[in-house]
Amino acid sequence: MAKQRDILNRIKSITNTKKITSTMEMVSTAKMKKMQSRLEMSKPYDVKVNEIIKNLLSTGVETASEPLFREVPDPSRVLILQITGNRGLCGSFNTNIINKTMKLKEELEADEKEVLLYVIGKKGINFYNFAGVPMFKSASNPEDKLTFEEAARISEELRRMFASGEVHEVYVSYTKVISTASQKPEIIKLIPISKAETEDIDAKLRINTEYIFEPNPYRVFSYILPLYLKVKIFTCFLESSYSEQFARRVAMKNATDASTDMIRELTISYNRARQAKITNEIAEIVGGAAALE
Amino acid sequence: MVNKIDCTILTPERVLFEGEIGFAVVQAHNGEMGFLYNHSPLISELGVGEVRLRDEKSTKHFIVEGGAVEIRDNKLIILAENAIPKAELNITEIEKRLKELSEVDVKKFSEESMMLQAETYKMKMRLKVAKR
Repeated sequence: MAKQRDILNRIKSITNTKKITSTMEMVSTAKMKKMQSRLEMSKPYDVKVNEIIKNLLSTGVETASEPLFREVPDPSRVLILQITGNRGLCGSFNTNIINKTMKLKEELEADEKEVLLYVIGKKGINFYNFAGVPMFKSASNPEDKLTFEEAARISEELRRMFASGEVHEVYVSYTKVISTASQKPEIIKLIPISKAETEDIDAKLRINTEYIFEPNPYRVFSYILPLYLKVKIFTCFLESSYSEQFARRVAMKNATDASTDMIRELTISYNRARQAKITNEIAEIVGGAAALE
Repeated sequence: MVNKIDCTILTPERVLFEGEIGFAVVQAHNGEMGFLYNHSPLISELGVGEVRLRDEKSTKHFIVEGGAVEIRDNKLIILAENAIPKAELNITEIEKRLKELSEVDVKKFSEESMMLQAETYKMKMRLKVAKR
């Protein structure tokens, strides 16, 4: 008796959960699409900035004087900018980044370096608070309200810290979008800008165009490098947001599928229980009638 | 007219303009700079100011706030940190903002006053373009 109603209640509650998860799936799909288009919009800009830097390098501008290229010998203070989401329910998205960051932190600390954490996203902040790890600075993730100015502000802050010698290296820990269907947590070294990154394509691109630089190559260079950082951070944010929505969509899709399965199984056992009850009742009636004869 | 420049205005947020034009004027770091067909390769820093793209019939106006410009093989690329086409500028809104800015009281030669000055300049340039 009671079993039948219990099953019915469970079916009801799972149906409600399914409604929520499928709605969340749709919402994150929509957000993901939006992020994807923003990502595509920012791609040409990113490519172009890189190209200009390459062109500049191929003209043989003296880069040693440029502070953003300067490697600090024996760096002892390192900053990690970690980008996580504000919310959960997105599978292992946040944990993956945190794990990766923690691993790097431990490695760096083993080398007796001081590690400062700049944490973006409430999930990351909550984790470090819980683990009792001090953070250098924290902010919530702007998510879809992200503007270029926001990214520019952060990169400017990091650049200043590097230029003043407050930190010797800056890393970014974020989720990289490899293709539309695959993302992976990754850590890149932001400052000092590694020349290796720009050199490989440089060889291919040696078209020997004689550029005129206005006002002069050095000025252009010292202007374009901070811009490069801004764009880089902006893309990191976009990619992280895209990955977060993607992870959430997958998690919600799995949850929806799982609840569909559960509802089907429960419906079968509900029907069984109902049938068993009916059979039981018939047996009782038949038994009763037989006893009367 | 056959001799046209392939022009693109990019911001990190979007592709603002893409198309062929006859003549372009941009606000370089210390004055305006014009580009015609067969311009030699050049990279320049941009200031805050107006960008005019002209072909035989019409002129398009944009406001560009910092960035860089590159021209090569008759391909002009304007990388703007922030750019707005004239159609999206609202005169009353800008005037309101300018008024607000003029009422802010800051110490002279402080960092805030520099930022205020830069912001006021931006708004003035926006107004100029909007009134075109």
